[in-house]
Amino acid sequence: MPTPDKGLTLTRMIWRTLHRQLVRTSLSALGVAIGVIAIVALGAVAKGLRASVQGSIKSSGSDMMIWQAGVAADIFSSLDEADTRKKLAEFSEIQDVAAGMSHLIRTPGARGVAALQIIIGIYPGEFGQQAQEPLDGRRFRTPSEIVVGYRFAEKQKLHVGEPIEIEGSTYQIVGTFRSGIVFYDGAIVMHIDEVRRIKIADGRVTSFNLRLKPETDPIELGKRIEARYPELAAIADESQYNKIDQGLEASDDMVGAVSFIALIVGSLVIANTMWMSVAQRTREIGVLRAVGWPRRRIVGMVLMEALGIGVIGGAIGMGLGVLLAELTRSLPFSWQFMDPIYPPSIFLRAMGIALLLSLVGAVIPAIRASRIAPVEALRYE
Amino acid sequence: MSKVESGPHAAVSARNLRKAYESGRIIALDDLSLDISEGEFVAICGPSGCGKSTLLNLITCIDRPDSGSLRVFDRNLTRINDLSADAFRANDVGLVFQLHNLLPHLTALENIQVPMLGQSGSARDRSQRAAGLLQRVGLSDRMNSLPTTLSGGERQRVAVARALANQPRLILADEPTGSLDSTTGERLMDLLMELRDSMQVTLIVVTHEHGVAEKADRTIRMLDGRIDD
Repeated sequence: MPTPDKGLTLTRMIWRTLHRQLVRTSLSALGVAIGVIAIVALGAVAKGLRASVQGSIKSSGSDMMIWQAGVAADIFSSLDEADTRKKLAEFSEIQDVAAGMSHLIRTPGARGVAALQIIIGIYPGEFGQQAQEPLDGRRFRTPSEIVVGYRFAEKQKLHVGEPIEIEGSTYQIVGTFRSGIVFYDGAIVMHIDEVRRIKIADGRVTSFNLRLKPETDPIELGKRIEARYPELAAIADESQYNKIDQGLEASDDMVGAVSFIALIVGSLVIANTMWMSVAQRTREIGVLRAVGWPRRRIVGMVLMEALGIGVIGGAIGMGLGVLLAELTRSLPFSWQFMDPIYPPSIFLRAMGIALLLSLVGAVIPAIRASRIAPVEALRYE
Repeated sequence: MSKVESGPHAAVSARNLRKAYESGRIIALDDLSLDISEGEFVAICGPSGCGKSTLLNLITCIDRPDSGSLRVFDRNLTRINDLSADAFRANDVGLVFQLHNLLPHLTALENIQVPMLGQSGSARDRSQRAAGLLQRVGLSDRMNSLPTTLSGGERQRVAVARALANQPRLILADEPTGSLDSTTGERLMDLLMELRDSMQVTLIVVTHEHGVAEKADRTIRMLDGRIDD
């Protein structure tokens, strides 16, 4: 007599059912996966954005940043450098100040990778330059020298020692750097005066990074700065970034909205699948009832089948979501500020939503299945 | 293997059973009374619509009588609740259908284990018990076969093994040979009778076929919801 296998379990039975309806299972799983893809991809990008903002605020030992209050987006911030330095000097807790100027230009060269390019202007002598620790070459010293982030260098296939033309002027690349901050690593960093010249913004800066004396509470100091100078926005943490840019909150809202839509669409897909599955298996379920399966086990079976689809869809969605998020690294322009990161919470959330929508979608079909009478097994037509 | 004690105790005891459908317009069972002893093989015959299936549904707790009393192995089924009815079907009754009603995506061995799910014992124990049952019905070499690869007779043998899965005291077979040719049908009945003898179960077979009825210890003929004396 052949040796029997490990034995039938409810889980194995459910797996066989899903496998038997392979096309239906796959299509339903893809329906679930679409939502998960969006949740993972958008979530990873949003997390990456927040991490980059936090990195910018804390770069080179910076404790906080000062921007123009009331701007629609950070890139529009414009402060009078001398006037702002004077105001900041009134606060004895501030140990060091580094000015920065950001701007967007047309991509140099004709390689067509990016339509727009971030350039960042800093003073070579200020601590802000420390964020661009050279990976290769050295820091810039003169207005005709620049350093570039390693991601920019890789994209544009540029190397130390090569010239680059920016807005009609030629600069020498003297170094590449890796800061770990996506905005910087995809940017061109040059003398602040050059950025002002290009932007036609003499005497202006976009923001300041501040180093504070030990034991100083940056949040409390920020409140005092803003109270005395309402035209300034003090940001000590990425959670305060909404004072000057709503992009982070918008991205979080988008993830939330997509999650909600995914819940609705995925639930409907699962509901349709399980409804059809139950309808087509009326006799089978009748047999299960006839051999003594209680209603609750029938409910459990249908819900577990739906969960099985949810798990498959969730796994597919997480894989494709990572793939999609990684694609943003190669998209024109977006690669400069998108560096998706994948904390476990993103995957837990995505899988949680996949399982939840599977359960929600399967509730009504499961109840329907539990109401199938055992007598259905005895019908012969 | 049997849980049945020998002796002439009543396996089924029905008194004045009445069951009607469509607000009383169709009377399926009309004041029906019968007794079936433990270990007995009873064939229930009669024309279509005579109430055979209704009686079978009542004995298996699939349906409830409108009035009268029904006891199976001293268990009162007249007003049994759904959960108890499920447990009764799972533990005390084995059903064999006209069509095998095997789950097409499960192997013969796995189909036999379906009624065992939720019962005590490990999955491996269940599998070994199922293998033993397959051996009893002469299909130990087909344990990993899907129903689609089995002949009609083999499928019904698997269905019989499934009916025995939880060591029931009563087997009800509803036209078990109805979808089989005469030779295969006769073999199946021989198998059921052999199992009845060896496992000392009570066997009730609903059938149209005289050949099947002739093998029974007793034949109950029904007509218009009553026993036709």
